[in-house]
Amino acid sequence: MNWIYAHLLTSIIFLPLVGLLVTLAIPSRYEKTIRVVSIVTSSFVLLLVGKLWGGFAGSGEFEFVEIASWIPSVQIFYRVGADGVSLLLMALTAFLVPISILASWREINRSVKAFHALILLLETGMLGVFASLDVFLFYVFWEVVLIPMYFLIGMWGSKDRIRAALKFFIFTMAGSVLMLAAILYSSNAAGGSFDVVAWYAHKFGLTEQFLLFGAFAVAFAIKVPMVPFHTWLPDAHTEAPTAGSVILAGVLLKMGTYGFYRFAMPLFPMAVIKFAPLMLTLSVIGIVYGGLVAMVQPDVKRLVAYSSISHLGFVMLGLFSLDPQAVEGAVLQMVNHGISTGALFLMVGMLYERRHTRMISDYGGVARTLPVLTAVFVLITFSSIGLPGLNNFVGEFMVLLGSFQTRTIYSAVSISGVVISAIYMLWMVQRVFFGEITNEENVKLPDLRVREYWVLAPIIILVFAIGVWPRPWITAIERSSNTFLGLTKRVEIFSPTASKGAENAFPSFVRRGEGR
Amino acid sequence: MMPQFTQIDWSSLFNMGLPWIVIFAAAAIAFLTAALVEEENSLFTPVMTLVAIAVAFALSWGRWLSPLPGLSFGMLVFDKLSVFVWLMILFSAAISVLLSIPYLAARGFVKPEYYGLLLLSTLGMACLVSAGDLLMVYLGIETMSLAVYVLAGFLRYRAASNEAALKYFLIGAFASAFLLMGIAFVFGSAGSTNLAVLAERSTEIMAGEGRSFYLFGVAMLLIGFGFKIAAVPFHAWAPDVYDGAPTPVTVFMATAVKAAAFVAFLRLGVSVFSAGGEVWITVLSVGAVATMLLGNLAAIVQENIKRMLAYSSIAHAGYILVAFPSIVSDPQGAGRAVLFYLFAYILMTAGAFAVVVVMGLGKDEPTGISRLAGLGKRRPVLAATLTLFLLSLLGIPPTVGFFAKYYLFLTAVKSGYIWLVVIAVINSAISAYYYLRPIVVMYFKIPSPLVGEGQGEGETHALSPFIVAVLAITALGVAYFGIFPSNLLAIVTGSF
Repeated sequence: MNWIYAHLLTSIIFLPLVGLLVTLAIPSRYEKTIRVVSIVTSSFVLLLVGKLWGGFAGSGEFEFVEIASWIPSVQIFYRVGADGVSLLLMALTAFLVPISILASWREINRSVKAFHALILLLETGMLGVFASLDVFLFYVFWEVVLIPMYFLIGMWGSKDRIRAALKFFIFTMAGSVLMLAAILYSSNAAGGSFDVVAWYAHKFGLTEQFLLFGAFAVAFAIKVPMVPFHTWLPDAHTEAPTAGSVILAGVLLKMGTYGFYRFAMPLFPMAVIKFAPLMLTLSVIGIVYGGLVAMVQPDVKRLVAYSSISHLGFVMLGLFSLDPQAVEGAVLQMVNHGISTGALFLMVGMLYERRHTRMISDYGGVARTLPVLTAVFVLITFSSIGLPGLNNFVGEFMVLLGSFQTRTIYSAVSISGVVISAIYMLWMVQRVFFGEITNEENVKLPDLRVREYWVLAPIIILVFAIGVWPRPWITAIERSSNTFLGLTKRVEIFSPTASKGAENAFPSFVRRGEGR
Repeated sequence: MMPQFTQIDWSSLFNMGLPWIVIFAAAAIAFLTAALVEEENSLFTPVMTLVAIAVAFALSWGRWLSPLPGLSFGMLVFDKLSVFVWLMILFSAAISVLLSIPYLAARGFVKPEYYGLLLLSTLGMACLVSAGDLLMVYLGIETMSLAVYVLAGFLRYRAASNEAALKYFLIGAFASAFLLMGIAFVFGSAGSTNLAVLAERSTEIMAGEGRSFYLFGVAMLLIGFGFKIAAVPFHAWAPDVYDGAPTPVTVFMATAVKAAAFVAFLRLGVSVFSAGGEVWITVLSVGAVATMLLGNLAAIVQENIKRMLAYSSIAHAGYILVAFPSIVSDPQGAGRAVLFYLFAYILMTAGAFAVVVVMGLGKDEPTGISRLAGLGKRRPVLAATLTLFLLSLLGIPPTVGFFAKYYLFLTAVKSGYIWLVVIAVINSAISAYYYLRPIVVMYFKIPSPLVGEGQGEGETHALSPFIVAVLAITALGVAYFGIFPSNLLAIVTGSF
């Protein structure tokens, strides 16, 4: 137990792997045991993350840092640590995984063992991505995430799953190999080290920054996804099984925004200045375009998928407007989107289990047969469109308020996204749940089961908690986002003579990192 | 500067050559058994072969561990490099033998001379990787190849096997002619065929009037090696030969033959590329790009897994060539990266082909990718191992294929060939398309009852213990060295 507390991050990252080994050892006919083992494992991970949060000081530096020798001859180390943003995203991951497993109790009924093994592998990969401070380690986890998600879509997806899985894989792979080339180059330029703190301290040349930022940004923009790299998303989200969609939208997209936050922006500040207009434009296009396309989708799941493009646009807008409030809002929005969109996918899955269709036109008037499900759905819809008092409002408001100070025009255009999201979500709710029952099959549908209450209850609590009392979440990320801004806004590379004075602008741990 | 033949220390030569003598003796026993004993389906020869390989491996491993400095006999060089590569070759020879036992038994074509030929070829590789002289390179390549020509056509009742042997023989003879001509030109311009002498004098020769002859000679050598490692545009034989040859022989060709040829090429490169670097950098870079691109693009359209792996092996030769331009500025780094890659490549290729052997254990050899349909359900462990090998070939961490690729590209970046690396990683992304196809077929497609009936007969039997051994060793190696490459890296670093 002491070892676990001393190596909290390592325990969190690799506990799912232990669960995976246990799962593999259970004969595949004991399906229920396998499900229970994976739920218990992922719940323990959540407990440990709670423990992590309890010990988190919010200093703005990396905490819980663990360093171990891995491949010393090429300066690769096992180096993990968490700042506020990592912590929040790890918490989101640990929160969504047990819920997804619980939600798959009935939906997944073939190759149960493989499914749960893959989910646990996926959890290790995602947690590792958010905790890695060694860029090589980060890349390893980044790629580890790819494989299980590919299998989840390909094996348990719906009709067009093979094409969707391949598209997902090739898009992500194309981005990440470019990132690999950039990582190789950067580590060579930074003296062979893979320590991200050492990279922060290294001053990349101007042209280097532009090219390296380009390579990193493409990899991350594909994952976010930003227009025009978004085309894999609707297919993957729509074809994936419910658990896959929840994790894909809830966590995997955040790997892209987190990559911008951790690597692409603070490492290459000059490139951020240069490319900010482009990135902001793409974000705003994503916000408006994603919303407009969502409006005309005949398929509920596809509608929710397109809404993700719009929501993630707000996150990118917040990050690139380089305003403290906007950045905090953006990070909070990463979590909020995971919760709300995750919940929407869960409930679309519940509807699908009952009616075996995702077409809006097949529903209508379901509110009469499914009153509780409808109530929850409407609540989450309100959360998703940013009703005050619910979680999304806080983040979206902070992003818009902050970006309005520094990037007025982009912010002004983005506000239309809020309106559009209200239109497509409410219109969809109206067509699915309200009105007369037009389809005979909708007359007799069972309402929420006990298990489904358990799936949705924690989410509803969080939706209110963040909406009413966002303080603890924002405190956790405040200092970290200041550090991020300090790194991203440094401009000392312009004039080498001025760099001595600018040294002091570095956060303390970066200066210490130089000495290593 | 001529090597002093009279001063050879015979006892140390005997010490060094002891593993070779063991292998030769085993080969002789195999041929004698073939001539004297009517043996059908006996395990005597393969087991004797494996024991001989194990003894040779142990002796060489002891030699690698010993702190004594390497010895050069002029023609033959026994340094850590040659010992390490020889160990890799013995390893892949052992894997080929293990795979051959059930493969030949399933066809009722058990002949002791098969193993004798395999051992003789291994002996040729020993000469090749220890060669300190171009003539020894030639001798090694010929000894190695002659045995493999016969092995490729060993299933003499099968037209494809005969075709493979003939093609391989004709192309091989052609390549040998290029090599010989190159050696002649180099000798004419440099006055020596000794690699150490060439390394010392190449700058001087390049400045002198023999320059153009020398360049022409080395270019001919490059072409000869280009054939042996199946680099574009000298690759055309590889898919047909890999496809037609018995699968265990394909494994042998794709791993041991390739590794031996690459290491000899590496030695040649270290000796001659430093002078007149620019020319060779251009040639090698263009070769690397063409080889990667063609291998990957052609692999996409293959319907047969053996052919797909053949093209993938061409692509991997291209990846290895990415490190070759770095020889000029950083011979040590390039050498290490190539060695690590070769080792990783042997593990994952041998593993992938082992699964192909399992597919083909019936009477016919169903190697169409579509025949894998539903394997994930019928043979979950086998399908999972094949997936592991494919992902490793694709270069997904944490497999050994990823770290090998990473290490290779790092060397190229260090020497400033960033554009070459960018092309190489884009090629990796392209390769995802075909490495994923067997996975899609195994797991994602629900086999239609019509296709499902005609699965390979081999699949209905329990796996042969020999194949299980191969799969276990290679899969563990791919996973272990992928997560903890340190030890292997230390061995490689100690070898070059």
